[in-house]
Amino acid sequence: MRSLRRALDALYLLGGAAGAVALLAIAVTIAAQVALREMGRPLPGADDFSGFMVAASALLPLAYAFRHGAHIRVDLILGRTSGVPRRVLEVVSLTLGAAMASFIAYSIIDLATDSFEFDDVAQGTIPFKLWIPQAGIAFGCTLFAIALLDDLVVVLGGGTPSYARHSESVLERAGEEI
Amino acid sequence: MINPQIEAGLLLLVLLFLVLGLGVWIALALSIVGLAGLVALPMLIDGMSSFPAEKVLGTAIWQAMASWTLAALPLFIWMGEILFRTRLSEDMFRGLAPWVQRLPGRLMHVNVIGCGIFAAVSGSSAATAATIGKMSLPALLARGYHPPMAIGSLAGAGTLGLLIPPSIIMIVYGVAAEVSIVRLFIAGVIPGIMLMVLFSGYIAAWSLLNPSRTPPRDPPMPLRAKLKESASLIPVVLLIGAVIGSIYAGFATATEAAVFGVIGALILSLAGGTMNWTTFRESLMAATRLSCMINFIIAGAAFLTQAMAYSGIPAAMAQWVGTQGFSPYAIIAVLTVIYVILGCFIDGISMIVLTTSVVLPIIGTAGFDLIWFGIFIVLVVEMAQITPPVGFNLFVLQGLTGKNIFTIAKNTLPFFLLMVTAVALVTLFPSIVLWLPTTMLSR
Repeated sequence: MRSLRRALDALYLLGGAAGAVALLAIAVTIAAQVALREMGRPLPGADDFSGFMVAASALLPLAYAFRHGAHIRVDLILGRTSGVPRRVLEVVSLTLGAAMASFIAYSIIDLATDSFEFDDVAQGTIPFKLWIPQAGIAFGCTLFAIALLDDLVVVLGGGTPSYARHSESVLERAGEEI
Repeated sequence: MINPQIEAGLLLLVLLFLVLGLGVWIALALSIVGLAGLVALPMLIDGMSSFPAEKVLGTAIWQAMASWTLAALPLFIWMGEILFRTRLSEDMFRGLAPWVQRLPGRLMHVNVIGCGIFAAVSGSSAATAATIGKMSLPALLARGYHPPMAIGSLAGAGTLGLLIPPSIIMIVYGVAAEVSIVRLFIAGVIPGIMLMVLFSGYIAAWSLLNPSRTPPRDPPMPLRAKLKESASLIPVVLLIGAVIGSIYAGFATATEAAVFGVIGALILSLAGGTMNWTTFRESLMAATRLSCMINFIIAGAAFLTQAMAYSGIPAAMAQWVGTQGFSPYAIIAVLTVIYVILGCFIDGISMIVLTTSVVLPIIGTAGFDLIWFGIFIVLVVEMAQITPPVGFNLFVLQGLTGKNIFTIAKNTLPFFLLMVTAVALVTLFPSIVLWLPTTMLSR
C-alpha cells in the first residue's frame, strides 16, 4: 500500500515535471524561430512543434495540478458545508469528475490509436507523426483520471483529499494565481 | 411556441448549474454538459443526427490544445510568475509615491497607477490587488488616509489586470472566439487608460470635496531623489512598453511578444539579484499549474462549443433574439445584468468560455463587432470581481484588512459605479475600443 502511494505520487510529479519541460520547450522553440528568422532562415516544423508542446504543457500536468488544488470549482455550496454533507458532496463531485476524466482519457487514447492506424501526419513543413504527441497527452489524461479515482478512494476511506490539503489562505492563493 | 432547441438549451443550462453547484471542477463540468448534450439531444430533437461522442471529444480537445496561438497563454503567465518573485511590489510604492504628492488625493493614486502597471505584467486582477495592496494599504492607513477610499480604490483598480495587455483573460477570449489576440490587446489599451482616469478623477474629486480627510503631503523631494526612488521601476515599465509596442508595431505576434516578455523578465530578475534555481523552478512550476488549469477549461469549453454547434441551440437562440427586434442597447443592458449576476457564482474565465459557446452567435446576429464585444465582456467580468458574495478581489481585500466582505463591497461601490459608467461609454462610443486597432501597423 505504501509503495503504491509512493509510485502514484512519483507518477503525478513526473507529469508535472514533463509539463514544465514542455512549457520551457515552447519558449525555446519560439525564441529560436524568431532568432533564425532574423537571420533569414526558417525553423522547419516550429509552428507544429510548439503547438504540440502547448498541448503537452496543458494536459501532462493535469493530475499534478489537481493534487495542488489548482483546478478551480464553484465552492458556493461546498464552502458552506462541513462534516457528513461536505463528504457526500466531495464523493459526488469526485465520482462525476472521475467518470468524465476517464471518458476524456478514453477519447484521447482512441484519437491516438486512430492516428497511429491511419498514419496521420502534421500538415506543416515537417510531417510529424501525430500519434506520438497524442500518446503523450493520452498519458496525461489517464493520469488525471487515476488521480481523481485515487482521491475518491481516499475520501471514501474517510481521508482528506489531496487538493484540500493544499488549499491555503485566499491571499496565498491569489499570490499563486498571478 | 418555444422551439425544441431553446427548450433543450435551457435544460442543459440547468444541468450546468447543477453540476457546477455540486462542486465538480469547472473544466470537467463543462465537458459533462457537452457530453450530455451530444448524447441526449438527438433523442429530444427530431432530425438531429447523433455523433460518436469519443471522436468529437478527442478531436475537440486536440484541436483546441495543439495550437500555436495558445502558446501566448503559458508564456505570459510565466512572465508574470517571474516578475511576481522579484521585489516589484516593494519598489512600486516607493517608486510611485514621490510623483503623486501634488495631485489631490495624493498617495491614493499609487493604488490606481501601481495596479495599472502591475496589471500589465500579471494579467490577473486578484494578484494585482494583492501585490499592490500588500505594500500600499498599510502605508496609506498608517499615514491616516480615509480607509474606505483606500480600500475601495485598491479593489477597483485591482481589476485593471484583466483589461490592460497582456491580459490572460483576453487570450482566453481570443482563442475561444477565434478573434485576433493582438487586436484585442491593442483594443484594451484606451479603455484601460480611460478606467484609470475615471478612478483617479474620482479620487481627486472626492479629496477636493473632503479636504479634511486627506493627510498632508510628505516633505518634498528633489527631482534627483525622486528618480533614484523609482529607478527600479523604470526597467519594468520599459519591458511592458516593449512587449505592447512590439505587438502594436507589428514586429511580433502575441506569442512572440510573450517570449520577449519571458526573456526580459528573466533578465530583470537576474539583474535584480532575485533569480536563483529555486525561484526559477518555483516560477516555472507555478506557471505550469496555472496554465494547465486555464487550458483545461478552454479544452472543456471547446468540446461544449462543438456539442452546442451540433445541437443548433446557439443558432436557434440567435435567430429567436433576431426576430424579437430588440435594440442592441437593450441586449447589452440585459447581458450586463446577467453577467454581473453570473459573476456572483462563477469565475471570469468560465464566464468567458461559456459566452463563446452560447452567446457569440447572438452577438454576431445583433451586429456587434467581436473585438468590441471582447472588451465589453472583460469590463463586465472586472465588475464581477468586486460584487459580493463571490468577488475574488473582495476576498483579497478581506485577507489584507480583516474587514467584513460587505463592508469592503460598500467601500468599493463608487468604483463599481465608475465601471458601469465605463461600460456605458464604450457602448455609446464604440470607437473608444475600435479606433486604436485600426491604426496598427500590420506586418
